[in-house]
Amino acid sequence: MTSLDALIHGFTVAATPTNLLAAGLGVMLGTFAGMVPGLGISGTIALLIPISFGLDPLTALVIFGGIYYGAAYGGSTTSILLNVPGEGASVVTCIEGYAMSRRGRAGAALSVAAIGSFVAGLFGLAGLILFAPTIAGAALAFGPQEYFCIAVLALVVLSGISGQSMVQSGLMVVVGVMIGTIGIDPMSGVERFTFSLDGLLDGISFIIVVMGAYGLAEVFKTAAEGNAAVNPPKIGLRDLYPTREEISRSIPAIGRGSLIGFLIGLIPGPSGTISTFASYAVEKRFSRGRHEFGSGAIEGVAGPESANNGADSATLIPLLSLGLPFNAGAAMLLSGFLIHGITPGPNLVNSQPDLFWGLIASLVIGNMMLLIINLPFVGVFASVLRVPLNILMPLVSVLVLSGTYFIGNSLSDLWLAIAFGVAGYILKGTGYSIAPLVIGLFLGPLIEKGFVQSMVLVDGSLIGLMARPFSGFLLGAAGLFIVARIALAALRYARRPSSAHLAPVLASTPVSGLPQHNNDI
Amino acid sequence: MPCRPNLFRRRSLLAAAAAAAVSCLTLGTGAAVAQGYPERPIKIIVPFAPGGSTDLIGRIVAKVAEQKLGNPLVIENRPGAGTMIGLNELAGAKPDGYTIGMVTSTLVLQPLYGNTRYDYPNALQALAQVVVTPPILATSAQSEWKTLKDLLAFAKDNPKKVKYGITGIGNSSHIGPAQLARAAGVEIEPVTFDGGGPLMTALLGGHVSAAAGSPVDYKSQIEAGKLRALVNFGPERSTDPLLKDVPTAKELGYDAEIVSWTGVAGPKGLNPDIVKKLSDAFVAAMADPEVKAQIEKLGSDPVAVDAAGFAQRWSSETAKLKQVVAETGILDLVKSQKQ
Repeated sequence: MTSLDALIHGFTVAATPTNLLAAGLGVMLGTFAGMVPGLGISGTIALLIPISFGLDPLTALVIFGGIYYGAAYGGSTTSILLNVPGEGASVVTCIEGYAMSRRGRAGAALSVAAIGSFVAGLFGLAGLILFAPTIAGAALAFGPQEYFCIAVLALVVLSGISGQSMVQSGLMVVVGVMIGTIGIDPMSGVERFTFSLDGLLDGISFIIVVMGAYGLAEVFKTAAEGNAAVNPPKIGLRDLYPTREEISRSIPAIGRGSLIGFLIGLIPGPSGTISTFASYAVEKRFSRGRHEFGSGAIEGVAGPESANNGADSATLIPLLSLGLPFNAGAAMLLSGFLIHGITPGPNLVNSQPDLFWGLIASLVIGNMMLLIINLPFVGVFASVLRVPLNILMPLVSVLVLSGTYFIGNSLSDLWLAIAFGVAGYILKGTGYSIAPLVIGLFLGPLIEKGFVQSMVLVDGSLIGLMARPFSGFLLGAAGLFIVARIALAALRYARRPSSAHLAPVLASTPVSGLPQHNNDI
Repeated sequence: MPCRPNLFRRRSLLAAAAAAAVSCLTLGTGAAVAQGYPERPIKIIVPFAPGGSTDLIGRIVAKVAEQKLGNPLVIENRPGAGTMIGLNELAGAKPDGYTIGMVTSTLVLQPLYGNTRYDYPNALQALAQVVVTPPILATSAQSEWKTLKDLLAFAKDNPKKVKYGITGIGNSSHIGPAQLARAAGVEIEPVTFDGGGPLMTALLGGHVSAAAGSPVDYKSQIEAGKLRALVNFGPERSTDPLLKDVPTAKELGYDAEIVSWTGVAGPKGLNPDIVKKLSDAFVAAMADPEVKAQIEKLGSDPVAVDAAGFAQRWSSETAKLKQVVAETGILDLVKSQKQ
């Protein structure tokens, strides 16, 4: 039986009324879980697992799969509309998405996010069907050394994401890395900088920083602007959907995002978030709308949102063909499998072909359902922006604080979110962008973990760290990138007109007063 | 100063009176409280994120135990800091029987390393043990080490060349192999990974040459023929068909034995009648065949140990492991990290 025959057979299994209903239920729950900040895939599936015991295993898996997919769709909604990212993978969507919202283009951003998610999801599933066992084996070659090197490369490339001066963003990256060292060190079990506070034992979660520094800071800013900002922008019905130009600009971004997401999704770790950052960095440098970045470029939404879904699909490959969960969402899905007596792994496709192909088919169906469900709601969600800000902003505060609490049921997280909200507001006013800080905070612990593990494995030799082909290549690329940036800056400095030697410096520093750049976090 | 002793006496008198009043009050109402207990939902703190095996075991057991208790058991996840965030909250909760929690072997181990807010075995009240899991040591199926003897012989000739993955410094996945290395007189080096999933990925990718941890994580890979289990650190062989041929370290003549376990506990100071009610409910839940079957599907061994037996386990393990972590050098390792 070829894959295609098997897949067609899978569709007959997945298209029973019960399983279609299950897929619909799953994707709706998932969309909801993605939309409510802090709820997420894990919490939703964990709630459903004890209820699912009575169901047929495939039906239960279809629901879990729907949640897994749906959450990636829903995540962008609050980022775009309210500047409140619900989870790591939708952080970067805030930057251009919310800027588009402020220009009255929220509907276009939401539509493109849904379409991009759909395309990337199908692309990932096609990869899963065609190459699953082959690619999965290759993914295992990625060890601690490679992880360390790719995290370093990511830090070097992404620190420039905000487009402010190298000194400013470098400073913020360092602060982020420093904050990332707070808490119990997972490698040695030692408490660092916790000041004996229980709330700091587990470190400062990057998503809490982001919810405060993006969501709450926006609330504070609006409050400080006073009555002038209360009136919402006028949005007509025809403004709800993307224009032809927006769509044609999104198509290449969706393609690039899908590919980036798919490749990064094969790497163990929080690939969803990393892939969105990577896609944003690529779009910012290479897309047609790169000059609009910071003021709401549609590629900055289309690319990362596609990457996120591409990564989620790719993560299913090691899960289904090796039984290895590469991130928290996949681990949750694995628990859901095990509890129904199904062990994903090399034997699954042969021992239970009905279940395997039925699940894949249901994911394809679920993806289509998500698009059909999401597009009509774009108008409804975009209308949120018609709500006057003096009503909307208090609601945003509630959303941020409840979401923060959801994450770990912890009161101290609320104080942290508020503290970072204030810090974010102050930084915004001084022209420092918070994006590099968030990247430092996210990547710092990954770099440290990779480094410590590698050092044990290579007996403490720095050469050993680089002696593997892929790790050496990644570190070399990071080194080249730094050299290139310095060379470019030197070149610009040398070519400066002698009369205005300060101009290049000023030009590379975004001026805080520009309204369009206010969301340059 | 003549008035001082007076003041003292008056204070202590007052204190004694107050204490008496309080104890009368608790004695008087205690029985009544326990009789109607539980009158409202009971919160179960789970010190892990939703979806982990402890969380799922908690949810499976709670679903049946709440029928016995007649009021819902509500799971609240308080993950982080190797269970310490959840345990601290549990130890600090009001001992009224409406806050209990899932606990694991970490409650005995963490205080041994001396960086905890509470001495958990004394700050918590044991209620029931529900699961026991002996860690195993496994290697890739392609490895040249067919048996534990092969691995140890290689390690003897190549000190510090065997790198084995663990899921946390000083936990049971670390203690088992460390005991083994000491008993066999070899040097092998642990590499910490943050969980069973990442560790399994590194083992299958050949980045570490062996790994220790819960059989829950390894069973599917052993079944698929990708991994080989070399030794079981439990007191006796597993009854699981996949693992029944794996020898214990004791059998092979090495003094290495450790298990990890999961159970239910409350804050210290619970009314004895409430302890009995909760203990009975969880022990009864563990007798339920469906609960057993579901826990077995996850790869763990269900057990039913009541409050007294569970408390006994805490104290005997504390005494034994205190010696083990000192002898194996794990305590020194943890201490040296802190400097």
